[in-house]
Amino acid sequence: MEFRQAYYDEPLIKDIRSDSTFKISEDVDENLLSQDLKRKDLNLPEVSEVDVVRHYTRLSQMNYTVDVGIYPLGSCTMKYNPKYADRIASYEEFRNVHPFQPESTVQGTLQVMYELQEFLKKISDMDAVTLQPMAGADGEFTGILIIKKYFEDRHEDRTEIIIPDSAHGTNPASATMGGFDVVEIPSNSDGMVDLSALKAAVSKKTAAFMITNPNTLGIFEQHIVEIAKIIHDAGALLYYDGANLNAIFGITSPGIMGFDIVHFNLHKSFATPHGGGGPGAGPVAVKAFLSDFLPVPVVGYDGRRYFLDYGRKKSIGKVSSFYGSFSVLLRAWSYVIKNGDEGLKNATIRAVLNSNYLKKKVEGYYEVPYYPLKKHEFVLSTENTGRRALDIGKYLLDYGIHSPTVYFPLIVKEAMMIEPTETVSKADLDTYADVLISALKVPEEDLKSRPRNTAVSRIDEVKAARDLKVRW
Amino acid sequence: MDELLSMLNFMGMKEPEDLFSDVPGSVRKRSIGIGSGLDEHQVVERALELGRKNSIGMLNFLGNGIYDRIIPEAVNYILSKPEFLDSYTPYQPEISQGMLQSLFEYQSLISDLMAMDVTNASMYDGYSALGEAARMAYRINGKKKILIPDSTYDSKLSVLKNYVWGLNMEIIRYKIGNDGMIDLDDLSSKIDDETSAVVVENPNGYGILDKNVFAVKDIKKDAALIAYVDPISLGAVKPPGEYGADIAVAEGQQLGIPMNFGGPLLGIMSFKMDHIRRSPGRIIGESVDSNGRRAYVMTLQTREQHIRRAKATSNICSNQALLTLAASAYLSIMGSSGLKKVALLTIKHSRMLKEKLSAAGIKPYFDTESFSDVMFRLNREVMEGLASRGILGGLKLTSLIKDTSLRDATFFTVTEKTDAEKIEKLAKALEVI
Ligand SMILES: Cc1ncc(COP(=O)(O)O)c(C=O)c1O
Repeated sequence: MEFRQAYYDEPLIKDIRSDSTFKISEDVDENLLSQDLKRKDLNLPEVSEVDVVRHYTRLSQMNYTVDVGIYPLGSCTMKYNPKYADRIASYEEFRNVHPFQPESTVQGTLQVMYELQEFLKKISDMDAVTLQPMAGADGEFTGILIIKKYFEDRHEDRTEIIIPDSAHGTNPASATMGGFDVVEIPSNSDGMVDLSALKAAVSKKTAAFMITNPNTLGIFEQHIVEIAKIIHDAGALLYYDGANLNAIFGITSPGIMGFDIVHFNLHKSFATPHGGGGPGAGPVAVKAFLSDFLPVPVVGYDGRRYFLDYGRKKSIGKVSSFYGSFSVLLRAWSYVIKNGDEGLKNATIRAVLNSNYLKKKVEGYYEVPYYPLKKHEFVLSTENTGRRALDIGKYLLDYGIHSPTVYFPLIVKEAMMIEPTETVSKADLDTYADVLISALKVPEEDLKSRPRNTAVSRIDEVKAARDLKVRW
Repeated sequence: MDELLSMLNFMGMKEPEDLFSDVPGSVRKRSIGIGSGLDEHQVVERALELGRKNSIGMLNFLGNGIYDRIIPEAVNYILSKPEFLDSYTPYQPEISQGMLQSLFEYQSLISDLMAMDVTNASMYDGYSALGEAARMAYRINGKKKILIPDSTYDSKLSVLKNYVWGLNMEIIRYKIGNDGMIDLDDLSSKIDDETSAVVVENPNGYGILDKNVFAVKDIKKDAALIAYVDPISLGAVKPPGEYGADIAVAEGQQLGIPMNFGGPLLGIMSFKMDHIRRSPGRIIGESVDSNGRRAYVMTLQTREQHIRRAKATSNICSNQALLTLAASAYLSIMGSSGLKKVALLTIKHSRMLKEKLSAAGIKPYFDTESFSDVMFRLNREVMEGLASRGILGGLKLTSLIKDTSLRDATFFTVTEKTDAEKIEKLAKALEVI
């Protein structure tokens, strides 16, 4: 497919000069504020509304979106974001609500939150939910603090969190933010948790084991029951990174597998927009014995009315300003009621099918290491081809399709982590496979000169770090 | 369905079940149990049905962190563009220049607004930005005491505590005096060689525009100065860079983001250039492409979790990128003149409110200038009574600071929208409840 991304030599907004058209009629005395409080000067742009709209419209045309094509960033779950959810999130009835309004005036909002809590419990087979964390990593941090408080409450001095070497970077980062030491364990030759390494790492100092299942290689941890037993026998807790929950809707659940704490990535599994990097939402669910440690408030229901429930004696307190990313929660709620049991399970089936199908199409050309059956994503290595994952990723861009995640997980050399999601067709996958394969037939120097059809060509990252021009 | 079968066949499989042969029977789930799905129109109907259970169109005098301000319709429009809404972190910069340039502009606009050197590409919200700022102060000077005023709200303090818990930092409160401003003697007496950071708020938790904040740089010794500010006030009021702040943080919701029951929000974080390598979050830098064209890219990533893992400066990954776009579009449409007007109208209205309510026998707590949140002496509970008359307002300080000694303090909040007529309505309603 021929592709050419738009390019504008678009000036910075401060260099667009047209008089501001913003207007409020009410008069105000320019010298109202006393001299000692006043700022010296302020040089914001003065631009007319139409020029602001044109500026951002031109910029938007220099940005890829899931609405133009496959966006198979592994681990990021770039599903199509359904339009009904956007519409619902735009309703004034929900947007125009203040967090301190009397509960009697926000019953609809609270009901959405309560129902979402219930849905998340059912999907995960956990017992209690907080919607407060702002993203996946924030959910991890919340989970880590719950672990910390739980052991403090039990007067147990546990200082270590065990994490597999395939884990996402936020896992170890969240653990150290909570003051824990990270113990990293290797994966086995199947790309799964190495049970003997786990047994060797576990001790009285172990507070928790943090994993995702399927893991970041897209491989299901088949020994999960045994893993849970090893961890629980040691008196430690099992944490589920829910970034990959979309691989198991209706198939299994963290609760059944023996996890004690789970975070959800609503912007991944529940198809809420990624917003060019955020906002997301990272609710956390726990088993009943940890429920008292959740952040407050949780939304309660007494059979008559919904309310903000602050009654948790051992609560870790608060992890964000109010009650969570409401408009993201609302979209996720609408996605769940739209899909229901069957829809969610079918999304999982199709996501797993797409991933395995694409894997099968490219595996004669690229090495796909470890256990062969994958879940919603798979990781190939370009090492055997003598080409760099980075270069192949750039080549894909020239066909108007997005690169997979590259160089993650760290345990695969020259890794490309591919997550097609369920919202692509067989035709999309066939094209993707064709382009991936054709990248191997292009001369090396040609690959290095990619991309050529995007707004700009390859960017000098070293210069960016050296010059550090981070503002106008 | 045909497509599904042909794909299964291609892989030598018969049925979808074959895709899950690696999931042990002992952990298989029967059914989710949330019932069957709905048609799209039914989903929309159900959402509207719940939405209508909220009371809308009420006159709003609530604030204390989230504000009902003018949002130009063009901001909503720009945010709805799928190229911004339905894309992700610009990991492939060549095909993501739109978001990258927009983030670079955000960093620049906010740096100008704060009069600070640098701004990162966002934190989750104001409170978590404060938590990250405290952790950053520790990375800068290795000290463990944080000073914060006793007017800081419990929930903000709780978030801060959680952020510094793992570092075992100690949080110490300093006093706000009877004029509603920092008690500089008290603060000064609490600063010592172990002080990592002094947190100042402007306006503070009592809504006061605090001049004493400007004097803190002279008494803080080697501690870092962290300023938590209201970004709208900066349209007129002295910004953190003018009074020596090392790190400036703010909640950016007021910059074009709807209230949405308090989320999603925008954590603003700016700092001095000297500290950039110790800072959390994504940062966009300008560079050139192989043809010499100006181009933007994420930079200094070696601070971040995906590279530095356990030693990263923060765990943040997904951030609030779309909301930075709201802030940029908002600030660009407003311009300096518009933002200044919004700030000054807010002050005009807070003075008007003090006058009107005083006349009705409800006295302001302080004579000092307030910004949006105006604190009054009022013993009665008026929130529900007002709500039944279509007015939101009358939040008690005790609901924000449980153990405050100011038991009768009650807030009414103004913005550029709450003009004389609306204030009159509030005053009238308060007379009868
Ligand atoms: C496996 C995994 N864990 C955690 C995260 C962190 O989630 P978030 O970006 O929402 O903070 C991600 C997302 O990037 C992920 O892929």
